[in-house]
Amino acid sequence: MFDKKKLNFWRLAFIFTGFTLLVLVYLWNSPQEPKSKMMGESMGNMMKQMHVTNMTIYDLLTSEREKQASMSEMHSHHQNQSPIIFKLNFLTTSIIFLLLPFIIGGAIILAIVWIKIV
Amino acid sequence: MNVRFDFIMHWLWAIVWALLALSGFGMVGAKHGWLVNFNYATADFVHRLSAAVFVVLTFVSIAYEVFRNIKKDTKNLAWFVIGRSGYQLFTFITTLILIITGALIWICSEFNMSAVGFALLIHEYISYIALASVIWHIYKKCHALLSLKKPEAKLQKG
Repeated sequence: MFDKKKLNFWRLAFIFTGFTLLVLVYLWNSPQEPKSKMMGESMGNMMKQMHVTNMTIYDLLTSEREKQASMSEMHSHHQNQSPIIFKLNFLTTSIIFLLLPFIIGGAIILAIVWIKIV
Repeated sequence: MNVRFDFIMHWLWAIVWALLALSGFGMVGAKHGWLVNFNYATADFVHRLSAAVFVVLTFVSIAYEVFRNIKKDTKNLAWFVIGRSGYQLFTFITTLILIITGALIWICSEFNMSAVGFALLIHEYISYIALASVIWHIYKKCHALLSLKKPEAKLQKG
């Protein structure tokens, strides 16, 4: 039988289905078939084919110097094009990389404490 | 009005997670581009900005939980996003994996595409698992909102 307690879930599912249908109707003329085989793949699978297949642990831990040079060139170009986005990128990058060690440290502490409690 | 910290964190987390999911799944591949109207630049921008907020929320949650353990506070926080069992533990683990792989994608794209490919693959597949689990979580816990409405109804009657 229909569970009245789950009514909110079905309402939400109904609203999301409506949104999805509306977006799909709005994009009626957009290309539905991917132009090439590669475009049909997800980003993860694409990366798997291009970089992860035949990858070694050495590849994971070494840097590509040529790539680094071309990226710094790209950064200076972006900085001139849109300074606000570049500043926001700097801010978000700083937040993430400053907090990351604390998150990992906190997670290790919690894991030890939780294991002790169990 | 008595609004609990865990309740606020839960819904802040839910909003940021929804933004991350929409922008992230929109960028997964050309097939899903319709989610963001094929505007990948905006999706990328929203995803990076939301990711920073998500990291801050995770940091606050972990710090709060560590602080609670120091004070030996054993009170059950039903709405809190992380915890030592059940769906709270699942959220904690998936969040850590998503943040670490996300950070690797963020920084390694500058110098190591092998690491980016490896991290992106994990990031994507964990996201699928997390999305499925969120739908299951909403189905299982949707009655919690009904129990929030009841005291208000009683007050109005009284």
